[in-house]
Amino acid sequence: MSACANAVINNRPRVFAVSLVLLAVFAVGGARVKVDNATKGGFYGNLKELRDDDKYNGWMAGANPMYLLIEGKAEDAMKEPAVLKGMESIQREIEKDPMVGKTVSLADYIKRINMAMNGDSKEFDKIPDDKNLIAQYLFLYSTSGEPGDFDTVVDNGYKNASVTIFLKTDSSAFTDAFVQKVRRLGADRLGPYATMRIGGGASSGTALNEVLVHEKMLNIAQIMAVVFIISSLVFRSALAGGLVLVPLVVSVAANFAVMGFFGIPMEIATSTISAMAVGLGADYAIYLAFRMREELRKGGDEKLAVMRAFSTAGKADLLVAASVGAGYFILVFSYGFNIHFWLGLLISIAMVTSAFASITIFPALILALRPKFIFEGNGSKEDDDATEPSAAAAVLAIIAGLALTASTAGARELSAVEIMKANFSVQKVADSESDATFRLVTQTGEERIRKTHGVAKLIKGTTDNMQLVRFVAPPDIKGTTTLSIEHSDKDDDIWIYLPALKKTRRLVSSNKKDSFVGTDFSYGDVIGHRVEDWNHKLLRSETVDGADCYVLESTPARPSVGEDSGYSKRVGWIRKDDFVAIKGEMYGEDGTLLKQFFAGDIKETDAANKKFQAMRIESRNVQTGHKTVITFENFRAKVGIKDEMFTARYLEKDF
Amino acid sequence: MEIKWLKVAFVIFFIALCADGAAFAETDGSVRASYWSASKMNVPNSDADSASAWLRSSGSSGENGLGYHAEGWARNDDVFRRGVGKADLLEGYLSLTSGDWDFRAGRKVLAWGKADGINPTDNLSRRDYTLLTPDDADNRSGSSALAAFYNAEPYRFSFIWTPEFRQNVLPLGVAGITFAENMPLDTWNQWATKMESTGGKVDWSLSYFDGWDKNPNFAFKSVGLGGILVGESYGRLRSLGADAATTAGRYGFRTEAAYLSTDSLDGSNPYLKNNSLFVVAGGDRSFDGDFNVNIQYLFKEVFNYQSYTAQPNPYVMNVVKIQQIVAGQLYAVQNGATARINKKWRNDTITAEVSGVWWATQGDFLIRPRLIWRATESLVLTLGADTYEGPKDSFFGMLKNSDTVFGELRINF
Repeated sequence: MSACANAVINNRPRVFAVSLVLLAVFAVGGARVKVDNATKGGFYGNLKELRDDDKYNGWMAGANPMYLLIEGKAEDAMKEPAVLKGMESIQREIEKDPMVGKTVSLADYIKRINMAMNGDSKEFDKIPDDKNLIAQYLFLYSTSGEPGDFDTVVDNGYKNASVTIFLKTDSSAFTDAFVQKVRRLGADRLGPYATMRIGGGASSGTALNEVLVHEKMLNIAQIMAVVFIISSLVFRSALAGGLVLVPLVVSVAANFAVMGFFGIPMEIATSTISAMAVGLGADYAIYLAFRMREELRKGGDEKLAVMRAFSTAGKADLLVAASVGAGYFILVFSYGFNIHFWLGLLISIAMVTSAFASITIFPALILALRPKFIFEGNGSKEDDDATEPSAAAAVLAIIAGLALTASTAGARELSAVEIMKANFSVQKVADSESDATFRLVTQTGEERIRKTHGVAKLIKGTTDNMQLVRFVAPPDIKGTTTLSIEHSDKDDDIWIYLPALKKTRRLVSSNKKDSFVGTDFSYGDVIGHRVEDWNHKLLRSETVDGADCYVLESTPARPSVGEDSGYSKRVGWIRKDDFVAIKGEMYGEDGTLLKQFFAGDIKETDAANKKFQAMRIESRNVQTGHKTVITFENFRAKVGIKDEMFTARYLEKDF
Repeated sequence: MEIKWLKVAFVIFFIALCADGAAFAETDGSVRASYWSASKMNVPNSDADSASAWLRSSGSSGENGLGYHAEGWARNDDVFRRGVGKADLLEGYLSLTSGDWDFRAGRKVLAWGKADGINPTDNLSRRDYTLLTPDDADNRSGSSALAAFYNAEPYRFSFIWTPEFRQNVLPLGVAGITFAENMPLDTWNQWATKMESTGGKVDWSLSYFDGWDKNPNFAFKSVGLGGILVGESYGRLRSLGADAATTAGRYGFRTEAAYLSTDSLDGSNPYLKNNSLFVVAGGDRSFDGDFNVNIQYLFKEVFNYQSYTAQPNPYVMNVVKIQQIVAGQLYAVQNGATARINKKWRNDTITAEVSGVWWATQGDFLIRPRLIWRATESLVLTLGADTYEGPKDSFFGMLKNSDTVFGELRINF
């Protein structure tokens, strides 16, 4: 065990190399596996009953009948020379196969009658070309023969006929190919008068083989899928699900390799055994993963933690695999019955390979990939220590370009950046819930109303906001819901749920200049413009509606910021007493004035942290004359919004 | 499974309202009138005038309680010639939320797949491709199901059992051929499951469906004075699918793939669809001014492919050809593309969109321009056209009779 642990910790390239070589060998063996269901294959070859069966098949036509049903389109179709010749042609062709002992059909009888009616001349050992002559032969025969003489080869109305084929083997490997060949012959030789079906024990075996083996292979995939899902769920990681599958894949590959190298056929029993082996071997990797995680989270030296996991869970894995494998291995002594032998052999191999893979390639991959489900929280407590947001919290950041902070910083002269930071956080409460009405007004005064219900919350330990906005009116967009998650260090994530499509779509987050569902606010206005993405300059002081305001100019810090936002410049009027922006101007990429913002009805939402919210916000597009007015109702801050509200589950909530 | 769905809808509605005095219940809908120069039945000279009413209602008792949702339409697609009216319940289900679990019981649309418009993994909901509506999303309706959803963020697991089979309605206007439909009997044996992750850098899902194929298989039955009689039956379909979506800067990327397994084990039965792999991959880019371009690549491979020309019987050959065209299995490997260009003006009141699908193998394609004007809060006017081009024995070429221009007036309430 310590050797394994040392190899995994110190010699991972070698572990990977050996694993790859073994998998290559397994692949070579697996490629040699033959699908074959034969009843006799389940027994040792020297059993008396099998020897007797071989003799019967050697001396007689064959003990495994297959039947071809020739279906005519109408009564008397089997009297058509073309059909009879087609049947005969099929018979002669398949009789060339050494596994075919004999075939019998109505065509044989007709040929024999034709020859008898012509003095047993070999020249007439054929199907007559005249349908009437064939009908007369059959009539003549009926006057002298027994009524049921032809029952096994044709029905009473001469619409359907049967061709009996005697096969010397029940091997599905043979019958699979044989059935394909017969089907091709049927399509080729019978012409437009008849079609063909195949029946009988031999063909049933083929169908059984195809269906059961196929289903069992599907079972293996299903079991792996279940293991993947459960492991992903338990560890909250799809990567965990994938890694836990690795030992199972190795054990299935080893099983197939043994089958290929030693001529064990893939048939009902062995495919079932492989499916069982996957299920039985699923837990070793999970044991070890749990143990490794526990040891690593205790902190301290990583190598020692892995060694401890090996000496406990790893050892237990091997002991369990050995005892289960040994239990099954007893079955290899079931002399005379191959299926038990295979069961014992293959499950033992699966147990051993699965356990070994769980203590070699599996931990080697974990240490190489260092997945979060093992290493996250290593050496420290879990999230409990995450810092609380500094009283700031996100809101519906609709006014981001304007929104500004209240703080206690008024005692000294503030820099432009400090003012903007104060402004940025003035609305950021820990969480909030509100209803909003959007009035979209055209230049001519036509008005449309859109209503939303929204919740917002700060991501723990950050000033990034999560925001869910659901439209409740008008009817054509009702139910449309957007979810946005801000990230200070990368692109924001935005999803939209469209009830007409019943689907959630991920949106490109750089579409910040696009209109937010047809309003005069852009997505960037809604999500907010980060202070650090802009260069800020304090222009002057000015009084607006009786309030003393800073007037600041913000220009993009990088060209991409301007391109993404659609603004070349923003100017904001920020109240000095509470840092709320009450007016703003946005300039388009061509430098001309694009929009004006106005905010009013400012209310304190969190007295303890000096947070404010404008309950009326207006955005006016000066180039089109169109404007959007938002009024907030039922605005409530710090109401204990749950994190789960900002998930796909709530995004798609249908009422 | 004959069920009087309108009665069921009424019962659901009544129960939901009365059971717990729903915290809120809302009803909305629309009335629509439209004219089409050709119906979507793929029949020559078949202009249609349609009037319809769409109704939707939903309600719930609160955050963790009972809820309901019902949605349906009633329509007449030949108003001026006294056509026969019809109605359909698109959705009608009760819902329950309990902890991490969500449950749905009743008819529900379950739309799977992250690709745009063409979704190989989407096998649960029924489509009526003959419905006279400008928007493809409207031709979808649900099947009765018991569905359970387990939420373990960022993952969600869906477990669905659907005992109802509702086949897709296809525009099978083929001259000289009569179709005789056989519906599957044991429809109770249909289920599906999905694992999805939403919220990381990449949204993805794995899905599996085992049920009846909603598109038919065709089989030659007989030929007579009335033409060819073709049997229309439905086979089992197993679909193993996956999809993913992510964004990078101004680009969005989506991919979706499904391995579709049918009853055809080796492709030797010409009357069964073959197993196939269908992949859609592409993305969209947003440009300034609410302008979006979406392009996707299509790849389809049919396994154990056999050409219809291998059939010696000319009648069988003809039927197998139709089967392969309708199933999109006329060739072993097919490549194609989709495109959608969308532009909005005047605060989303005017939308212009052109979308299309093109299969490279035969060069057949579909183009759909749409112009939507939201004249007032409730009044929406849509003008558009569908143009099908291609050889007669191609998928879109066969639909040439469905070429149409149309106009629709919609009043939302």
